Amino acid sequence: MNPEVVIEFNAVSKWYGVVLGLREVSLRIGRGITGLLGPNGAGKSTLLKVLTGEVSPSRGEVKVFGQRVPSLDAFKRIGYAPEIEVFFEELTAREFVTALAQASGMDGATARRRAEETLHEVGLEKALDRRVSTYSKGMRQRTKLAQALLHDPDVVLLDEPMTGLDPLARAHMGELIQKLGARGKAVVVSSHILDEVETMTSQIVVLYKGQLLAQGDVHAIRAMIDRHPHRVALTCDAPRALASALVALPSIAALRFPSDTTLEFETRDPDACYGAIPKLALAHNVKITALSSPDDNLAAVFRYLTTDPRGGVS
Amino acid sequence: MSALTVARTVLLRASRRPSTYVISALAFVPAFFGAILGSQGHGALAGGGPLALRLVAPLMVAAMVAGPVGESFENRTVVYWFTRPFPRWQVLAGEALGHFAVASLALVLSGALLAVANALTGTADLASLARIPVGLVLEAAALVGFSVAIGALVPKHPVLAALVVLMLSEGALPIVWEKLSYLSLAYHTSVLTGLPFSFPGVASDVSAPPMAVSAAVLLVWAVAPLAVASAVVHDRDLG
Repeated sequence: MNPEVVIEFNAVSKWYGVVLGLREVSLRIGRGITGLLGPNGAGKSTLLKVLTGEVSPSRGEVKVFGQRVPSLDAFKRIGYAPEIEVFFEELTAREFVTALAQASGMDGATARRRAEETLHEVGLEKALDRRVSTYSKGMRQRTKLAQALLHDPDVVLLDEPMTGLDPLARAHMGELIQKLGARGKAVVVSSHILDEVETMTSQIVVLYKGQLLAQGDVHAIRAMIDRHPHRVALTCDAPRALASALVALPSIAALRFPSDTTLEFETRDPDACYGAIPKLALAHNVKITALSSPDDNLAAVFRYLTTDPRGGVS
Repeated sequence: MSALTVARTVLLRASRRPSTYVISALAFVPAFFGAILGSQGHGALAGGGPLALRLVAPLMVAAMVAGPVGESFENRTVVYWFTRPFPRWQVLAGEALGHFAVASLALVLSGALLAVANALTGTADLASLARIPVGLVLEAAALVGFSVAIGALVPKHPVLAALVVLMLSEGALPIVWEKLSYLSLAYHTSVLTGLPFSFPGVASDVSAPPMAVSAAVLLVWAVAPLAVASAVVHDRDLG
């Protein structure tokens, strides 16, 4: 086996009755952080559930460190934070994580120590003895992370760990995940938000309707976005004046005025365009109040990947 | 070892769940009715016994056990156990052990109170004072094993499913044909405890089996459904 390959999917398909969960997915994941991207229903959770034995594949095989999963040996090396929001609500975080540490094979004293260490690591040291039922969404996500890390696994699977977190908590969670990657663990983080994953890693796996759409460097996917006309929406006090200036730029492909204060255009060179807009606005005395790119999200990536005749990236 | 961890967690959670205490309050019902009947000269055990065996115990244990177990499958919290390095059957065994500790305590209390009611209103029968709680512990084991299995197998409506089965085995079937009492776990508990199985005024001509046979039947009630549930859960997708 290639020593760099930690997780291996070989032609894995999963059907839920007539509903397709995964279709002929073959991929290899190594150490470090891998972002598992896809819109809702893409098969991200199913892929993680197959890895943890929650569901068994209808076809194909999954291996972790060369061992077929599910297996008890593989579970010793896998830490998993599922997407569910519920715990053993009657327990405190310390009791919850300690029980799971003991279930991972630790004796009582070691389990208590590890539970405390991991809860400290995720920043819950001040709420160790509070019942989980009183926790906020961010604290719950961190508790889930703590229970996934307590046996120091080599593989960490995090299903939508950023869901429901405020920006500060997101940043903290991102830092924790990056530390895990830096420690040489194979971390798989599922998300439907490209920017969220981009802050943690450049290695991504894109799923769409149960199929593996792309695997590789996120910048390659970004470049693919740039091969298509890139939409930019501007809100300003004089959209027509700004449009007449923008038209002079060679990269502008189309212009629209959705409202009296809005200008929407397509460009084949987003970077050059973003650089020119402030200068043009100043030169024509146009006051810009908002600028956004409707294409700069994962939905656009999926749209491009599914419509690009040249196929995905590798 | 891991089953014990699960059992300890189940026990701790049950002890903090208000519903455990609400449901356990049913334990007083047989003694209450027994005391009333005893004071009127009908015998505390004659009415309180069948009530405890056939109604209160099944209702109490099914509600106390099948519900939480079914919920853990339905809301997928069982995943926290199932992704640890020990076999799934140990989770069910741990659930059964933990719930048995709670349920047996409630049923022993119920049996002890009934025996006390009997002693206060009739004869101070020391033998029944010992036999009733011990027998009810065995009934608790049977009901817990069955209820854990139902919770795992029918997680959407576990209490309803458990009660339907128990209504058949403990009520409907013995009424339709008395020989079917042999399927009833309450009937075999009555053999062990000496408590009457039939309610006052209902004649019974079913010959009692040896106590060892009754104990074995209760063991089958406890273990067989658990074994089936373990086999099913071993390969079943969780979500």
